[in-house]
Amino acid sequence: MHFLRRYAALFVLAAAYLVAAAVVFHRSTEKREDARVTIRFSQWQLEGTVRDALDAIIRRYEELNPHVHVEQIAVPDTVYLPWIQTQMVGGTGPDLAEFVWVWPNLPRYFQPVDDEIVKPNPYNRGTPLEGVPWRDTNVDGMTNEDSYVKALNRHYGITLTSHVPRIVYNKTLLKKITGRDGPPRTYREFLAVCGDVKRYADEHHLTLAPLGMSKDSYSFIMYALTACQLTNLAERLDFEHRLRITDIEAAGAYLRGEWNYDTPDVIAALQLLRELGEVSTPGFLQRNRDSALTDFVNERAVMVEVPSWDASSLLRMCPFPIGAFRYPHPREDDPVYGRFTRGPFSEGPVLTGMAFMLNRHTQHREEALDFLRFLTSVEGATMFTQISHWQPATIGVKPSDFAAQFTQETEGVAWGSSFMTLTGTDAMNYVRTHLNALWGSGGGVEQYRAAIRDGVDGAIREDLRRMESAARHNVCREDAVATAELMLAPRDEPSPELRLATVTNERAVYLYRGWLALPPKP
Amino acid sequence: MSTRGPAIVMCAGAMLIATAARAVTLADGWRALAGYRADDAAAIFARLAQAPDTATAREASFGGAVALLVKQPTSDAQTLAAQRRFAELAESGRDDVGLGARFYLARIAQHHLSTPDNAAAARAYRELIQADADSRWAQAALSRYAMLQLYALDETQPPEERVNHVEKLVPLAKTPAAQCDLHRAIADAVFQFRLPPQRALPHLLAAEKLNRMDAVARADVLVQIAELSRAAGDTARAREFYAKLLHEFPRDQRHTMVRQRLEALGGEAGRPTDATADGHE
Repeated sequence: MHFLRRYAALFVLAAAYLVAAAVVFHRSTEKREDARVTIRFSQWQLEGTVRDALDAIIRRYEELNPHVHVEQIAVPDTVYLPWIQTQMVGGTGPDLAEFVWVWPNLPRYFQPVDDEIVKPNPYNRGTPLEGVPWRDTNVDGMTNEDSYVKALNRHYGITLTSHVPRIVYNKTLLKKITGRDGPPRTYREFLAVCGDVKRYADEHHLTLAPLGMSKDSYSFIMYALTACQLTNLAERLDFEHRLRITDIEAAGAYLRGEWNYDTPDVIAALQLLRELGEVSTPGFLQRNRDSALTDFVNERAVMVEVPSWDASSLLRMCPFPIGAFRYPHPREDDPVYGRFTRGPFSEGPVLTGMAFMLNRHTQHREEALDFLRFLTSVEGATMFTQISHWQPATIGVKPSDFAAQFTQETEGVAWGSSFMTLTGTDAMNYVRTHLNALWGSGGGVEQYRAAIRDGVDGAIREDLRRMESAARHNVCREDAVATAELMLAPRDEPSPELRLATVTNERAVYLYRGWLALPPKP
Repeated sequence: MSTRGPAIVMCAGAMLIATAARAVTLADGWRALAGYRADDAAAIFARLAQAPDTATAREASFGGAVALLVKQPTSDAQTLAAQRRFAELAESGRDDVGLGARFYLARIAQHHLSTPDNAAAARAYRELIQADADSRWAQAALSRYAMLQLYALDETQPPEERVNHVEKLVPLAKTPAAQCDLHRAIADAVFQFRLPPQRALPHLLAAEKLNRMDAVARADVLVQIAELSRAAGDTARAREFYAKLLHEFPRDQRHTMVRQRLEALGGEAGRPTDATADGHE
């Protein structure tokens, strides 16, 4: 007994070592017995049932391909970018990684798939997409920015879905308060519904907002609202006669003095935004998306503005029936705003996202590509939408009944600029950080215009300096790649073309310099 | 162990010999550069620049200079080192490498140096064109030289004159790509300078006919031709090019506006976009 007591700790330690060794040995043995090729993909969509959909697709894929094992690595969005960058730099990145914005030096870590997307997807055999090149089975033809990297003139990402914002409403509460069975169809009806809700809340001493909103979601409706309201201004600024203008061109036009915050169209658009704030949850600029969703689920808001990626979560959480509708933008017949706009309004072209990219150093290129083909086939995309309730990105695949309410409206007028994004980073942040002057207590259109009038010019210039540098470096980088491709062409039949950066990309360098050379506004 | 040891050593030795025997080639260097691996490319070209074969050494020297321009971290000192090498290559021959070197002397002055030297870039472009205007380097250079003249070379020159001057380059463009790029560069400048937009129309028509553009650019050019034709009262051509856009780009976001235009012209408004093609029921 004395011996046992004396060496008890040692025995425990030895036992623990033996157990650990046995587990390791067992697992190593298991791994050796699994002759399957394992491919891993990472993604950061933890909303609703997206992971369940991907798991179901994996199970089906493994049934069809018993020699392949697929592992899903779901990482929260808050840490995904540093996580995946660390993995890629360390050489331990997954075979497929979901794209995330602001990814520097993309070609260093991922490989282009241009040669693959022109071949048919074999998993579409027996469907209307049989024999169709993979690229043309995607609803946007893989022209979205995640798939086609314009600066590099290469395709990298294979996309899975698309999203639009909608107003989701509590059917029971809307009926109880307004007597309506359906959502408002015009802007004036929308304002009337909001008025009814406010009166009801006052009469019953309730904390109840017409529209749940958050700092994470307002931008979706704001950009659409200003883009629709400013169609006539966009047409006046279309100096290149393309029936479209970009946000960057709108910023250039601002520096050229072709519009400003005294332009009547812009004042009207800001007034519309002000009215949106008046019917939204008070203080929404300080509230995150979870607060807005909680308000809606707990019936402290009759409606809530959500992007479609959050809506599928609401379907699981809400104990009441819900519906969805598109924000009813004022049309030409609106007595106040009609003279500035011309519809009907499109929500722009469907541009898909949730792109998966192929690790440049994957050991299992063929298997990874094959899984992507299944994922985006008619069968894979159908499983995806039916379980996740997100939009499919494959032509001809019907969205689930719930997802159908979030199908993007592609028919209509879309000039392409919201006049709120401008040159991106600095200008966009400048315009947005002053929105408290529009929506905060004591705020209004005049206060907002006064707050931003003197600073937008400088913020655009800050962006332009960076953009000019980036555009120039891109031209330089593409010079070298074009030369290499030219020199690699067969010597007996030399390619006559040196494919430099496109005229549009090289012209951007001079465009930005020209705008920067304009005198600052007083 | 006693029997397997020597076998392993022999195998390893054989692998080392095999690796050493597989000499790197110029193509390895260019492949590395095409794959954005400038460091690897520079190392390969440095080895091959010592090759006894003069042609290989010359091309390797050229490749090494190209790699130097994009080898991170880039600096003006590194760019100037590449410039010296290109100058030597340009001076020592008018072969493909010599012409490529002249092209790069222009590009360095135009874009690679942190402060551009526009006059030097223009001079180098002119020398390249004079040396061999039909070479692939000179053909690619034409539209870039045009942009230099349009936007940077002499900002005191009225835009109208700049466009006139650049239009004289058009007869020099022989390849469809060079012609297309040049016409597009001129048309873009007409819009950018807010010159009478009809001035751009012949260039857009020429570019469309040559059709050496990416899809986004082509869709824009079709709309531009239609819009300018409509404004000029050429409704037949406007209708033709609106219809081309509807047909060639079934998912283009401008369909509704184009149909509105067609209706206003009193023509066939075209069918709505194929709903299935956009992923809708």
